[in-house]
Amino acid sequence: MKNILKYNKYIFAGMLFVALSAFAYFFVERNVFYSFRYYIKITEKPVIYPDYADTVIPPNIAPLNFYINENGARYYVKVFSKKGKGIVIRSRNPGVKIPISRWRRLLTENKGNELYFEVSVKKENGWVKYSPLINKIAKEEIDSFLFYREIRPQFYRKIKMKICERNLENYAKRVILDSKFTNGACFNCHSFLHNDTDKFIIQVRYDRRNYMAVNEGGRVSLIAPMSRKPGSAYLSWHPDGEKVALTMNMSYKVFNRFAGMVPEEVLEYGDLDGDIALLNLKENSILTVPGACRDGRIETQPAWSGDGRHLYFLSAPKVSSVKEYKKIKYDLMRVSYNAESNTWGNAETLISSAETDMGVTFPKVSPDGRFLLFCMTDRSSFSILRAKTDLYLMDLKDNSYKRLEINSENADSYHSWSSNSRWFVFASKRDGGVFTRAYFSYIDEEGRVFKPFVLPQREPYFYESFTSAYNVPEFSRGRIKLNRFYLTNALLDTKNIIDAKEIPGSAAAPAWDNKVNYNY
Amino acid sequence: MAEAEKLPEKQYQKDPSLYTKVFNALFYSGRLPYEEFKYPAYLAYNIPPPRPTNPRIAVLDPCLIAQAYLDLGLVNHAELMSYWAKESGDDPVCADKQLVLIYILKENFRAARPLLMRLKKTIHQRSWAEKYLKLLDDKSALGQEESLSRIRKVMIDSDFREDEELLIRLTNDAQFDYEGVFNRLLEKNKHNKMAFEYLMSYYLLTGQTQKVEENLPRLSCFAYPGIPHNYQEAVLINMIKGNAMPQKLPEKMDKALADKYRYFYETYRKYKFSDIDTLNELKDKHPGSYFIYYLKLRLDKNEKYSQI
Repeated sequence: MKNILKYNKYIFAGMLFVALSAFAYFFVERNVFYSFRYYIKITEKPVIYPDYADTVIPPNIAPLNFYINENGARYYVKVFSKKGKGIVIRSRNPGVKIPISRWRRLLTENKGNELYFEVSVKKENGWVKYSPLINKIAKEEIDSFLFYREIRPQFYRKIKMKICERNLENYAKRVILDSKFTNGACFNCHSFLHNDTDKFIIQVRYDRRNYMAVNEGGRVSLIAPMSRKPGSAYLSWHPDGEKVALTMNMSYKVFNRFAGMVPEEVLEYGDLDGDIALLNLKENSILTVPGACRDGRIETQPAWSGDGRHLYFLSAPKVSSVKEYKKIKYDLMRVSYNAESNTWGNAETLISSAETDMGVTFPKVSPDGRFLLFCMTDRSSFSILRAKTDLYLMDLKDNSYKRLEINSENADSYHSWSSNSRWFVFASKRDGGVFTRAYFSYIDEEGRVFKPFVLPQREPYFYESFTSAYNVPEFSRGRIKLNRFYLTNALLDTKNIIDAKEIPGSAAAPAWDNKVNYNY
Repeated sequence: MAEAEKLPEKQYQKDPSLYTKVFNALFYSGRLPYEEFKYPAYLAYNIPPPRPTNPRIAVLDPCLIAQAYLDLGLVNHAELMSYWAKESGDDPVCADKQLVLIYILKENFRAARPLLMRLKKTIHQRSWAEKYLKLLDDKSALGQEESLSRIRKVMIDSDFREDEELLIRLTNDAQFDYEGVFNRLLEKNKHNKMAFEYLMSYYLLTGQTQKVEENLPRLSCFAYPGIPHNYQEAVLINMIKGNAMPQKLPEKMDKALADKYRYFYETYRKYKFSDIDTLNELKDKHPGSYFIYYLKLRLDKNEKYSQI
């Protein structure tokens, strides 16, 4: 004790020295190295990656971290808007990480205002201040969660995949299902009722069965829409929450291109069959939809309108063999439905492939019922692989449609609406043509669509080394409340599969054709 | 290779990837046209099947197959195989490296970069990744990079897309047209040594000795010191098949080999051209000879349980 007291003054002096040094360092660092007494202001905009400029962002999005693709010794970034205190980031590293709480405050205070990223870089001759990057903060929020499949950019049969839940307000990510633990099961087409996780369906292929896992308030039941059929997929909830439209009797073939320098994809895919059916979850029955299960035609990818009065779907003449897969170009059609009397109207064609010489895929109606977002490409088979796939928007007021200006030269495909109809997410290969990323776009009430931005990540360099693909992105307002292990076990418990009752009068069901290669 | 030579054929049947590994090692060491039949040979594994979903391929190393297709110049197929390697293995580094080369060859530099950044994070591949990242920054140097220019010389830049039927047939294992594919590669670049040796090996493995002889003029595109041993054997077998083993052979033939085949011919004649008796007589005395493989193949075909 005596010894300690004896050396007390030295310890104190040491601590004081360290404190003063630290203070001096930070003082010099901030006021000398980051002194802006002399700088060159240029009209050029800095190059940042990801490209977060001239876009519209939701007020509840996580910080848009990025890196500055400009050489320099030091970097200074000021993030500010009309109201509130801006955020200043000083760094020797071009990676910019914005503090989440201050970002949130800034965005909340400035809904509807512009958001500026003012970037300065210290080069050999001093500081260079670039012209600020401007984004707009929308008034409308985006649904807080994104569910997506994480897969390889090219996949074949033995698929390694995960279904992930990503909080868009921060960076929290949770794996809901992982093929590592599902014994080779393939799961896809996750679909939420009203963008809510209380009621959702995941399509499963496992143990040579094709069925749906239906979650209703935490209870998972397994339903096989057709016990004898090779495939069913592409689900769409009727707004009443009791019925689900789906494609059944599906068959298709996947094959690979063999040769060398094809600038597009290495996989090809040919649809051979498909009918639209309505699965009634309450009665556990299935009924094919008149007008959407015609002989000689492939009918697929149903999508309900927001009010449940119309079912949109795709239709194309069947091809005689998979060799003719290029001929498959889907028309966009719709059929009216009266839920009270359970009656259907006549099917009508909205876009004819014969007129456009293009095929439609993935029609999705905005929840407010105003717009229909869909893809068009030179042929419809597996459009997510086609570089020529672009997004189109139809105004359901007058059924006029347009190609969106936000499309890139690579595939811009699978999309989903936020519950307020002001945002949509889509899977795009725009950055390099291989790795699909999730992009978000704002759409105003008049149908004007603004430049998209990529899903923000905590690490500014995340996309520089991320080599998986974001597939089937779907919005949700909440997180899945189920335990991952419970969900995995429930999904694979095939003895609990209930076969839906086929209602008599339903279209004849073709038997399993062993000659057809039902890949996937 | 010495160890592989000593391994009994049963071992190969147990682990069919050995066929591919040995075949590849022979090619890369320049010994394929000379020593292929010193080791057990089996078409289905020597030259790998084209579809990743083929059950036979499950036992093979997809990275190895991808590398072979890449070296052949079948870039798209190599890409698919590399992804197959990523799906079936635990993201092997070899697949990422192959994909980097593939995307650079396809001039999709933006897709190559994330893979390189990923490789840069690993201890063993850092320098390799840094080298290619530098090359991406200096595109003019990409043209001179050795491994890329080697593939660029042989890769076909037009697809079979004009002939969809052929395309689908190519992806069907049962009808896979090895001959058509290798010939196509040679049409693109007559100096594609790998395609040539694979084609000749395909003919040898399927007993099409006449076609081996027909393709001998292609040897002039390569710097072989004379006619490779296995191809000479095919010519000699053609002579035996024609029941004509002349005393005087073409000049380029190896004299010792010709003497050996004269002996084979005498033995064959002694057993009244019985494949099985000749095989029993010769198989232990001349184990590395193509003639032995050829007789076995004929017997297999006769017994209608051809493995090919």
